[in-house]
Amino acid sequence: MFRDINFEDIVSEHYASLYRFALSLSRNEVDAADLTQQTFFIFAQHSRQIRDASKVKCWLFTTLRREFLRGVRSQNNHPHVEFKPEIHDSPAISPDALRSLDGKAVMDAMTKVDTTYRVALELFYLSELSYKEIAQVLEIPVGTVMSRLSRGKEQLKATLSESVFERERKIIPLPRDEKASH
Amino acid sequence: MKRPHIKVTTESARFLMSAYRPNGADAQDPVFKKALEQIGSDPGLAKWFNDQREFDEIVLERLNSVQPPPELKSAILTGVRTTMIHRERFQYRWLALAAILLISCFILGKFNFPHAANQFDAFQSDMLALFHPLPVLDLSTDSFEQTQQFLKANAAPTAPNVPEELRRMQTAGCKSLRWRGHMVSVTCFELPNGDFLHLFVVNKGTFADSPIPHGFLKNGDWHILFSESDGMVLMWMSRAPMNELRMLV
Repeated sequence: MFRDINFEDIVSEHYASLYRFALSLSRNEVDAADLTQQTFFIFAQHSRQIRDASKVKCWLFTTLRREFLRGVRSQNNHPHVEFKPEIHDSPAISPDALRSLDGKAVMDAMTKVDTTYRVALELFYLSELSYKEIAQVLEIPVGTVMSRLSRGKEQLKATLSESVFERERKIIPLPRDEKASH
Repeated sequence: MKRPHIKVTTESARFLMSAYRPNGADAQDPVFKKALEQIGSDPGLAKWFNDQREFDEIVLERLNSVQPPPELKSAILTGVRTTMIHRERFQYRWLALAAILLISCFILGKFNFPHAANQFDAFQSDMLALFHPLPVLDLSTDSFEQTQQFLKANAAPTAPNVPEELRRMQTAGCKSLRWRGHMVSVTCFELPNGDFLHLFVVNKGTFADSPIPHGFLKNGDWHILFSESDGMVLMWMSRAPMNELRMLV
């Protein structure tokens, strides 16, 4: 289809991570799928303008984010941003406790992180972009990316700790006798 | 005094290493190099880093477990293939349109706007047509000097470097006209044998970069010679014998 770029390979390589990024932005599976499709649609239209194949990933994530923001602006539906107090010392969360959470729970926890930090964090985890590429996608200095990642991770740990705590609180331990009868 | 310094360095390392990807892709990045060295010499920092990496790996693993809808990939590929087909058709349409325009321009140019190489032919044909019937001159005078003064006063091109023999020759007069937006002057000399020699002068820019035809040309019973002087193109035209003209010009 393309002279230099194999489109099918690009879709196969990036569609899942783009979908996850879209899901974290839109928080809606249908919108996430639409955003992912729209991103590849734009890519198909402009692929000949991308001369460096190594920039494709960064281009796709930048485009998806722009499309999301465009949609948000057109709907005049700015996401509510709740600013939380800064957390300097994140609460400890054991790896086992963390592993006990499923993907959806981690994704939900991610959505509770301040938007300012969340987008950098999502790009870090979901796209596995480098801090330089994240800076490019978000059009901010690299120092700001590092700062947002650092603070974002602290908030994510705090949110995940809460999730683990909430989950454990819901589990009511059975009395010893009842346990024995099973 | 030492502790705050060490603490700041550790904090800086923690700050930097928050951007270090768990897959190790940043290991060669010089930005992380010093922080990694610091980790190697600071057990507390090393523990924090290990915990951080484990945290990142688990988060990454959990997030990657979220799978897109199974039909999404095929939907993307189908949509994109359709886009590509439309785009190619659109491009072909543009190519076809461009080709049609190009051919149209060529045909129009061929019939209405002579090619640069044929501009001299067109010029001589149009000027010859001017002499069927004979044109009415703007100034009737037997003085070459007067013709040139008149033409100059009327912003028409004057003849540069006219041979002395011709300058002394009697003229019938002169005329100025426009050809395709360019001013042209014509001075008519009366030759001793009773024939006329007409000198057309026009700015060389009229013919763009097309080369001036060499040698005598024949059009009906007219002999034509083109020459160039001081940015002007001179066209000599007469029914007089060619060798006579050659001696004069």
